[in-house]
Formats: sequence, C-alpha cells, structure tokens
Amino acid sequence: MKSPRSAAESRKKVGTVGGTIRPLMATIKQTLITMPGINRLVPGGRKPVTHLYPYQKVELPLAYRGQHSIDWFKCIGCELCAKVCPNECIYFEFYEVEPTSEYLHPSRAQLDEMKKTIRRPAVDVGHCLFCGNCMEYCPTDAWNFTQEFELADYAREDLYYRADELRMPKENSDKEIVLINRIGEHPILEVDVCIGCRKCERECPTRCIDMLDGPNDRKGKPIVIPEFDYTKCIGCQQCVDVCPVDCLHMEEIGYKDLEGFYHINLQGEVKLLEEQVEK
Amino acid sequence: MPEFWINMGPQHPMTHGLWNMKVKVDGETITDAKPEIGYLHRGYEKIMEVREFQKNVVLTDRLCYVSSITWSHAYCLAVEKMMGLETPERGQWIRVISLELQRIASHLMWLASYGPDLGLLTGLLWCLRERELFLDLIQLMSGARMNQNYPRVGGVRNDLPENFEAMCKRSIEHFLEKLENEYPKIFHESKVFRMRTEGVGTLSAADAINWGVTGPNLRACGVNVDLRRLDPYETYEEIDFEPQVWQDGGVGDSYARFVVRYNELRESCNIIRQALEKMPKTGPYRVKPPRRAEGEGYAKTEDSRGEALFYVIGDGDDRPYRVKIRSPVFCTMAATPILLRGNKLADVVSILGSIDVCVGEMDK
Amino acid sequence: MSTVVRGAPVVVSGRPVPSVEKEVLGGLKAAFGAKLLDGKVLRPGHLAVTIDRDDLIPVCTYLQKTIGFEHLSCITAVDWKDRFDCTYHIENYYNGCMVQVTAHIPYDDPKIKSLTGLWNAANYHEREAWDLMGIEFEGHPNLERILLPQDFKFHPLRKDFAQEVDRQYITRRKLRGGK
Repeated sequence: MKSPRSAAESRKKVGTVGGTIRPLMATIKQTLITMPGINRLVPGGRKPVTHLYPYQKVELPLAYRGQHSIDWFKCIGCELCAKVCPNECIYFEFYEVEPTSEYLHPSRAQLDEMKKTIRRPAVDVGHCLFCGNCMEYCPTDAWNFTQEFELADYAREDLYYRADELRMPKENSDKEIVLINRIGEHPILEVDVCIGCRKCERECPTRCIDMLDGPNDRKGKPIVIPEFDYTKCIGCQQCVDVCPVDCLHMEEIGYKDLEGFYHINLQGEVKLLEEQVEK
Repeated sequence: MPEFWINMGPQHPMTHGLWNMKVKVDGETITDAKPEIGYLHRGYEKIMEVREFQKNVVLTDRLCYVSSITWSHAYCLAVEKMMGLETPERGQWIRVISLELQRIASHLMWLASYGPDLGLLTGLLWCLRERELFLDLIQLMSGARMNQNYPRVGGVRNDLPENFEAMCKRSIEHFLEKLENEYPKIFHESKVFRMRTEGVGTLSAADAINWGVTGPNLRACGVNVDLRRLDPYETYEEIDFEPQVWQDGGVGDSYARFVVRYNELRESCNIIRQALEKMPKTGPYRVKPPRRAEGEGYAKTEDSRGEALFYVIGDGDDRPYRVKIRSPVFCTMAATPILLRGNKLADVVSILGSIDVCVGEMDK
Repeated sequence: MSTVVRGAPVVVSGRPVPSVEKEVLGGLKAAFGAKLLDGKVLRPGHLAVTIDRDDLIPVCTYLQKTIGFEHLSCITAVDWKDRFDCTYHIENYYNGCMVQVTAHIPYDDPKIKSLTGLWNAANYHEREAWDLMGIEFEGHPNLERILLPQDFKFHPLRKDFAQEVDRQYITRRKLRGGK
C-alpha cells in the first residue's frame, strides 16, 4: 500500500493574493466551527471537545499510573519495590501490631509474632517518577496504581505519603496469596564464610530460610548455616543486604517463560478522551 | 561596518530550550556561526553506569521528552543486542506501533513550534490539537502521556488494550483527513510560510553526509537513507513503506525539511495501519531478560530526529560498564555553521527551527 | 561492493545487501593483514575490527575512499582502567553495512590521530570524547570542551572520577518526617 502523494508536496507556486486569503479563510473557519450559535451554520460545525476540568473529569484508562495503593494483606515487606525504584523514593515504615493482626502474612506469621512489627511501603511522591517498576516487580501483586491523579499539595513535606495513607481499602483486596520470583535471581551461599548468625533467617520475608547444622567454624565450634527453599524465594536480596560477612550472593535462575509474568495494570476496554465529551 | 558577534540565546524565542547560537554578522549577512551547547548537560552516560539495566529505561525516556519511546526503545534494543535476546513477534509489532505513534507526536510537536517561529500561531494550536489524539492513544497503550517507560529490555511493558485497534484506526483516519485538507492551507499554500522557508538554509548532500547530518534533515537533501529500510530493526522489513525523500532538486532548504517531515506524518500513519493488520492478535510480547550481562552491543534506530545509536558495554555486573549515546541533534548542530553561512540574520529562526533541535538529547 | 561509486552524493537504493559484511571483512583483511588485531562479524550487516592506534588513519582512509563508508556515526571512548578504547562506528549508506573500529590507546598516553580530515562529523564527537574522557586528538582544529564549562578541571567519564561509592541500594530504614 503506497501512501497517496498529495499535490502540495511539490514546489507548486503560490500566488500572493491566494496565498494570503486562503490561510486566512481556513483559520477563520476553524474559529467559527466550535463557536456557540454559529457552529450550526458552518459546514462541519460541532461542539468543543475540551473538558471543563475541575467540574468534569475524564475517565482514565486502567493502565494509567496515578496514586499508589498497596494491598496490606498481600504485602510482605520484602523491600523489593524500594530496590527496583529508580529514584529510591520508597521508604519502609514499621508498625507494631497485635499478634492476632490480620496483616501478619501467614508465611511469616511466627517470626512476625516474635517481632510484632510489620513493615509497609511509604512513597515520597515528590520524587516519584510514576514509572511503575515497583508494581511490575512486586512478588505478591500487592502494589497497585489507582486512577487518582490530583496529588499536588501546598508543602513539600505533604508529598510524603505515609504507608497508612497508601493502604488499599479492605474490601478491594482479594487476599489471595501469590509468591512469584519476578526478579529472576536467588541467593547462593558460600559455606566457608558463613558464621551462622541467623540474621538472614530473621530477615527473610517469606521464611524460606531454614537453619541447618553446618560445618565447624575456625575454633572447632559447630555452627548453623542457612538452607534456602527456592520454591518460596522471591529474590528480594534482603538476606544479602543484612549478611554481616558477605557470604551470600545473587545468581540468575535462568527461566524465560512468561505470559503475564509481570504484575501490570489490567487493560480492559478503553475510551478515547474525545469520545467522553457529552454530545 | 565591521563584523561582530551576536548571541542568539540562551534565552531566545528561537532556541526551544537552553543553548546559544553565536552568529557573526556583516551587516545583515551571516559570515560565521558558533553553537554553544551544554547548558542542559546532566551527565547521562555517567549516571547510567551506576544504575541497573532496567532502571536506565526511565532515564532514556527523559533524553527527549517529546519522543521518549523512540529513545528508550533504542536503549533497550542495544541492551538486547548485548544480551543476545530476541523479542517475541507480537512484542516487535507493538514496538513498531508505539514508535510510529511517538514519531507522529514528535513531528507534530516540531511543527507546532515551527509555526510560531515564523509567526504562524495557528500552526501551534492546530498541531497541538492533533497531537492530543496521539498522546491519548499512547496513554491508552502505555498508561502515561509522556515519559511512558514503555519499552523494556526483551519486549514492551504491557499488551495493547482490547479495543485499541479500532481506536487507533479512528484517530488516524481523522488525522489523515486534516493532513490532506486543512494543514496545507496554512503551511504549503501560505505565501508567508513559503517566503520564509524557501531558499534559506540550503545544504548539499555531500556536505550533509560528511558532517553527519541524519534523518529527515538528510533526506531533505535528497539522500535516500532511512534506517528503517537500510538496516531494518524490529519488523520494519515486513512493512511496505516509502522513505520520504525530497526529490525536487538535490539541495535541501528549510522548506524541503518541512515537507519531508510533513510527509513522514502520513507515512507513519500508513505504517501503523499495516502493523495493526499484520500483527499476530495474541501471543507473548515480552521475555525475561537476564539481570547481569557481559559483552558489548550497539543498536541504531531511526529516531524522529535522525540516527540514534546506543553503544552499551557490560562487564558482568547488573549495571552497564559504559553507555554511549549518539544524539542526532548533536551531530546536526555541528553542521549549523554551514547551514547559516551566507543567509540573512532574519532567517536564522527559520533555519534552526527547521532542523528540529531538542536540547535534552543534544546535551545528554 | 563493486556497485559502490564514490563521490556520487545521492544514494539511489539504500537497501541492505546480504552477506556484505563478509566481503568487507575480507577486503579489510586483504588490505591490512596482521595489522587487524581482531576481526569478527557481529550480525548480518555488522562487523567489528580491532586495531592499534597507529593504524587508525590508514584503515579509515581505506574504508572511506576505497569502499565508500561515508558516514561516521559515532565515536566512543571507553576507560578500561589499564587502557583506553576509542570505538568508531562507520556506516555505508549504499548497503547498510556498519563497521565498528576499535583502537587501543595506552592509559598513560591518551593520544590518537584525529579523523576530522576525513569526516567533518568527527569534529564534535572528538571534542566530546576529549571533554568527558580526556583523550587528546592530534590534528583536531578546535579541541576544547563542548558540554562542560571551559574551566572544568576533570574528565568525568573516567572511572577514577568520583562516583557514588556504594552502588548497591542502601536500605533506608529511618523514617522521615512527614505529615
């Protein structure tokens, strides 16, 4: 299919009178085409397609990335979103909760009971790019973006949204637990270096680390070393970050399946802005 | 009267951003010119060395906010070449569609700013009105109007919405009708526009090639080079399209550059229509890239302003060791003294407006 | 390659030619022999050769004058801590072939011949490489800083220029003041 070549392409001569009158007429016609009252008399006349913004809001597509909204039932506080954030604008806040709290994730209930704290993300919207990486890599589908776009505020401090403010309403959550390693890596242990401090076990958000008997250390004392349940590992690197002796490193899993592997906004039927104007 | 230098910029209505064009005038005639750039240098290549591969996509979006998908796509393509990845077929088609939508939006932004340069404010309003259609389509597709963060290493971020095809065809039809009947009346057939653009800023083909001018500016000199055709990436070789070349004489002036870009708008619509028909309706659109990579790779793409080249070197870490950005505007800027020499001072706006300067990508 | 006519400014076809990269690589090997430290085909239409910095001008002259690689796309300087690499991407507009010429430069003597005599396009690229990486191009007409201020003291793309020390994500547990 060749595109039609318009006559205007070649260097056609334009007269002085015609070249002044015609643009003028075209401009005037466009002015009148949406002018109330007159638009009925002009061929192609119509109503304006603009929206009266504060009174009339457009319906944004579901893929739109507005305000963050975090499902507290699903979030396990793995801090992966903070690691994939390009601007590092995600901070984690700690909340003390009752042992019976419904926000304690079943996979780590026991450990959380020990600590009686949960951690949930808070976002400094003043630094946020709204790139959607946090949602994409979230291993439990807890991150979501709403269609709310009016985030401007009067003070810079007000742009820091506490974790409480970003909590998704309870009724919106389906409370279904998924664990997907979206980062594609898992930790590998160097046994010789490990000192058996159990920090990784305490830090692991999915409790995939078991401490087993290991070799003796330099003084001949037996120590425990972590063993990873890679079916539950989400590749969040928390164990690597807390390790005091750097005996853990991340390694590629090497799978390339994946339809719907990443968590992204649903995309249903969409509507053009132009279609949303009341005719 | 002695010759003297005039600073046009950094704050000047002509510059569209922050840069300075020093011109040496003898009376009204320009005898020499010297662009001064770097006001917007943000150290992209250094920043990218400390960020992970997937985090750099948001940075390359901001190289040029007017055509961010084409830039982040070029980066993703280079990283894929380094990693040895192949995007699934549907992913490639979606990329083609998003690239062409972005190209239309970028060219319309250029046309919208070129109009007021020449005192044609109607052009600004009309082009921004039509650009809204395409920003809307891009928003439906990627979730954001600008700085979309849409291409990914190994594919695209998300699939097309269900009824995207109908929406896209509808907008393109509307736009093509305007392009055929309305726009020529204020651009091609306007005596004022023709007098300001014709015969100024001529550049011969040999000069253009030697100075590294690429893209629409090169095709306006009559050189039939389009990287979508010459070195096809994605699925461009399956699409039947015609690179838009100025054929009415071998020397490109401002008007030729305008016409080439104007015709590319139409050609891009043609490509999108074909892509929507030819693409597989379902299928994977993304593969999982490895996090760490070693090796080197480069990719060159036809950006809306010319040849964009990314050269990425990895050293086995999850960050690139070195990224080189080849910006088309940076190279075109080197040729501006040739373009300006011998013209009148009043034509500087017409010439520099027509080469489509984007300071964000020029200064990196 | 026989269809290449040097000096004709208007490219007629501008179409990719299959297996042109082997032809170009064969031509380069025949002309320079052992001076090519490395030569390989990257993918169809793209090849990479490695040379020493003294052979840069002969290789590029051969590429431009003899086999019609008329477009210098990009000049990249890479700091490998023990040496510098200067990489030239040179393209042929007739058949879409691209050659990546890498020249090794010793670290303590970062100098290389300028290509401005062959391509004017090299002017700005070399100024940028001097500005950001500190490689001196001999014979450049106007080698001064282009992106950074004229009085800037450093060459920031070198690896020893200060950069964030800990490149890993640092967990920020501290709660910042908010509402």
